[in-house]
Amino acid sequence: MKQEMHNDAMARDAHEQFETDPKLDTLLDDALAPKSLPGGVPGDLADRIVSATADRVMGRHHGVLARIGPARIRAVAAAVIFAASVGIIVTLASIAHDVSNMHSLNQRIAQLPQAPLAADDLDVEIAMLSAEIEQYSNELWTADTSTHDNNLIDDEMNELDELFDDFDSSELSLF
Amino acid sequence: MALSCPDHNIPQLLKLASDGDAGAWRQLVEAYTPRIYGLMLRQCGDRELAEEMTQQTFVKLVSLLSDHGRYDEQGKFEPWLFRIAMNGLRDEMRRRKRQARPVDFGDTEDGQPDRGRVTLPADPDAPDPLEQVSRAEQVEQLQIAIAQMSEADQQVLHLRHTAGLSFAQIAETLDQPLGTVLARGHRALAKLRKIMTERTTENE
Repeated sequence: MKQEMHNDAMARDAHEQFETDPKLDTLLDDALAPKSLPGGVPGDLADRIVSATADRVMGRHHGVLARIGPARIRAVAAAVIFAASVGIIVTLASIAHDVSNMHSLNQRIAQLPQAPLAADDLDVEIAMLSAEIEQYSNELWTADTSTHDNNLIDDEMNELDELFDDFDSSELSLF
Repeated sequence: MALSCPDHNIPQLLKLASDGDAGAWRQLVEAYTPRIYGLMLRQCGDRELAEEMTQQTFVKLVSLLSDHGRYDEQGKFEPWLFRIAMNGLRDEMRRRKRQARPVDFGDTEDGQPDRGRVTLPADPDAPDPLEQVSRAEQVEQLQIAIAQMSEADQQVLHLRHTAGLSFAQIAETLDQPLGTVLARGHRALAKLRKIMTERTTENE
C-alpha cells in the first residue's frame, strides 16, 4: 500500500514534469510523428493491408462455415450415417421379430393336430392361438407405416391370411 | 500529444468490422496504419520489416475480432493493438536474430545523410520562414539526439510521439506500472536535454 502510494506520487511528480515542457513535447511530436518518417508512410500500404485482409473481414460469416471445415462436415455425415444405420438395424430387428412370431404361430398350428391333448385343452389351445393371431393382425393394421413399408405389410397380411386358412383347416380336421 | 482518432468512433468501428463491415475495417486500417508503421520503422529501422509487421498486426487483429471471445472492448483498444504490434516485432526480430539498426535515411542531393527532415505543411498562420528554419533545425537535432539514446529510452519516446499513446496507454502496452513508465519517460527526456545541451555547447 505504501509502495503504491509512493509510485502514485512518483507518477504524479513525473507527469507534472512532462507537462511543464510543452515546447519539447511539441518538438518531439514533429520529430517522431509518422509524417516525419524518412520517405513517409507508403501511400498504398493501407490499401494493400485492406486487400490482404478483405476476405477475412467480408468472408467472416462464410468463415463460420469454413471453420466447420471438412473434418466437421465428415463428423456430421458420420453421425447421420450412424443414425440411419441404427434405424435400419431397428427396422430389421422388427422384421425379424415379426418373422419369428409368424414362424412360432405356424409351428404351433402345425403341431396342433399331433398334440396329445384332451378336447377341452385343445379348445383352450385353439382359443389362445386364435386370440394371438387376432392380436397380431390388429398390431399389423395399426402399425406405424413409417417403419413398415407397404409391401412388407402386404406380405405380413398374406402370411396372416394363410395362418387363418391353416387354423381353419386344423379346426376342421379336428371335428 | 495526441494522435488518437477523434473522427472515428473506435468501439463502433470495431463492432461493425467484427460483423464483417468492410468499410469500417478500411477506416480502422487507414486510421492506424501510419502510427503502427511509424512505430515499427522507428523500432526496427527496416522499411520492409516495418511494412510486414504492420500488415501482420492487422491480420492478427482481424483474426482476433472474428473470434469474439478474444477481444473485449473496454476502451483499451489502442494499448491492445500496439501491444500486438510490439510483441509481433519483438518475436520477429528474435526469430531473425536481427538487431535494431538505424534507419537507412538515404542521401540528400548534397551527399549528406538525410536525417528525416520534417517538411512542415504550408499554413497561412505559420511563423515566418526564419523561425521555420530554426524549428526544422531543432527537430533535426532532436532526431539525431534520439538516435543516440538507448533502445529502452527510444521505445518510450516512440510509443508516445510516433504511436501517439498517453503514458497510461504506454503502461498498458508495455504491461508496466504507470510510475515506472513515467520515470522512464522522464529519464529519457533528461538524457535528451543533456545531449541537446552538449551539442549546442559544441556548436558554440
